[in-house]
Amino acid sequence: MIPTIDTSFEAIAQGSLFLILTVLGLAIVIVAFQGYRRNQSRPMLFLAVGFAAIIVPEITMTVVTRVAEVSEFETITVYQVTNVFAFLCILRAITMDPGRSRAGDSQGGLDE
Amino acid sequence: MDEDCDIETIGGVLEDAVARSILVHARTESLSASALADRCDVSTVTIYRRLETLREHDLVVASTVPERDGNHYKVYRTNVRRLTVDLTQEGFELEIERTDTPADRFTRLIEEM
Repeated sequence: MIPTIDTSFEAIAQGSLFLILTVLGLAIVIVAFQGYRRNQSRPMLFLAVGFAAIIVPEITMTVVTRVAEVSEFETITVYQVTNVFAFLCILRAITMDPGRSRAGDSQGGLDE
Repeated sequence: MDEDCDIETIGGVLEDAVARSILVHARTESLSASALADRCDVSTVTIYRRLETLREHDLVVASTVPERDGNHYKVYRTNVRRLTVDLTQEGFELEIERTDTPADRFTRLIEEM
């Protein structure tokens, strides 16, 4: 079945909001991941994974509910389970010790 | 991104010719310790020591480059754009402008929580 293009106000509002949500969410994930890469910061990795665990199911479920029959219970359960995981990751990110590794990893010896 | 730092501490770090040389070479590109050793013409041990000092004072940032064979190595980049020394009633004031990206500031924010 080919879905017809819905031009109702609700559909346009929902579509626009979904787009904004996706762009903002992914932007935060990307910046957090860059922070992890550039600074080797484990908290930032947890933060990136945490935000991704919120935004990715959001995008996925929006698409899935369009093309497949998914009950409301299933949808909500997916959100809740992924949110629990996401919040745990974010909590871990802000409570863990950054554990800065220093430049001289496994480097010793005498100067000059 | 400006901040005030202890002029004596930073001055002490910059007193060292190798440390200054690292900052110059790693200003525009990220370099590995061995590349820095080649360019500064000193041993890698010396480079690692200076890098440690420079990182402690946040003058250099490190990032990891993943290799296909699973061996990761680190590259280093200068994190300073400008140092300003002001003479005021209170004495000398040092201001450091860094070359931070939003990702770096975000990282610092999270790590300081």
